Amino acid sequence: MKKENLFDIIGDVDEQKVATAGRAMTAKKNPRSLWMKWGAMAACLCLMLVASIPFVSNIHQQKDPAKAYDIVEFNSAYYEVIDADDAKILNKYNLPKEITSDMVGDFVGASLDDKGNETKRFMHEYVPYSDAEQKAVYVLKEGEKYSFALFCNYIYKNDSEYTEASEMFALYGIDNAEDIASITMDGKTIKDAGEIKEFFDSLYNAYGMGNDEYQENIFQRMDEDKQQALAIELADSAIEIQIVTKAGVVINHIRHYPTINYVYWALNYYKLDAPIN
Amino acid sequence: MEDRDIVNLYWQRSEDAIRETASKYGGYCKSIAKNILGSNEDAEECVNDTYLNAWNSMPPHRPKILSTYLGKITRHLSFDKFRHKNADKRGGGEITIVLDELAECVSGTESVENDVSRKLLVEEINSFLNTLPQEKCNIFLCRYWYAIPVSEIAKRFGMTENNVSVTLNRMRKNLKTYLTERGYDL
Repeated sequence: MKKENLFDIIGDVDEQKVATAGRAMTAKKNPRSLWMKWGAMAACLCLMLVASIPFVSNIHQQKDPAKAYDIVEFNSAYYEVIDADDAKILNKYNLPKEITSDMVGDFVGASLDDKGNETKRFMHEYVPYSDAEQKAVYVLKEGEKYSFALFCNYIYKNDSEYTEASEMFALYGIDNAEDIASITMDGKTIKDAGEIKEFFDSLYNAYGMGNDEYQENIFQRMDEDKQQALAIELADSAIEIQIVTKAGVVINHIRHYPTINYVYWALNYYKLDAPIN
Repeated sequence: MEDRDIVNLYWQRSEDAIRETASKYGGYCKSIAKNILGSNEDAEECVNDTYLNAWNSMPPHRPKILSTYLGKITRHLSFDKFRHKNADKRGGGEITIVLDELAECVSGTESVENDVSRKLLVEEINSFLNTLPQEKCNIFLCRYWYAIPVSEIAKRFGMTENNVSVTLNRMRKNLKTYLTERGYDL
């Protein structure tokens, strides 16, 4: 068949679908952008926020609710600014408590405020990671004060957006399995190159999707009680994954759902072809 | 004016039918034609031919969705005109890129097609569209029915252009797989 024939045949598809698509192009935008911004920020704070399904997570320890989170926007992503006093988080990312001036590298750009205006909180390279070509860990300079700014998630305008796993890995300076030093899953650390490659290939090549498609795939056609039960089951069986690169960059908050063989990573979902062992 | 009232004007052979159609759907038809033909002049010509076709086809037709009925006529006329002009390697809007994308789904060889095989293939493509989440179905049809540029689709759906391209690429692959699994060797 010629491509022109296929185009012609597509012209005869269901008229209702065609009309719906036409309306979607001309409909007023759903004013969800503010919700999505808060949704993305909530995800950044390691809370699972799902559009319609209550998702119970007992994996993450929540911060003291009285303490305000410090989030900056940079390069279409949210970064959490880590206080020097927050030893627990700094340890989790193998980062030092004190940032000295020799650790502060080249200026990368200014972070943005809520309205998209540049602030005086400037992002700099973190010198120990400067060879890693990573964009997940920066030093935030505010006057003479330095803090770490850690990537949380890209800011999406709707629930259908997602980032391919290859791009997520690249964010942390990982181009191939050889860039990974270790993977810790469910408390067990893997350093064997073959096993690391198997995991990397599986996730790198996985089918990526946004929250909408994930919800549709997993929860569609279930009544609310069953959805709730499944959500709890997934939360209870979820396995936390931590990756450490050879440059020392740490990735936390990747989550594997073994019963459905999906991985969640910073508002993105990935369907694996085969289970992770 | 409601669609049903406009269709009634055609059935009553009232000259107001064309005026009302142009007023409500002139822009819609023109954008379809322009995406395929690229030039305003050619698009205008196709839209005028659409009105003539509509006049000649109602009655006996009484379409349920007038917009799509007219859109289909415009699409068909525009594409015919494009194929005619393309023989001389002239003109063409977004359609050239759209066709190159669809080329990934087909072998490119001439095939014998009849009404029955065409109808069956349309049904299979409808079934494929039924497997897609609503937004993806809309994106697919915006690109391959309406021939809307990726940049406009991205803006409307609040996605990056790269995201739209990746989504379309994936859907083309899935369509090809879907049809191959059902015995279609395009």
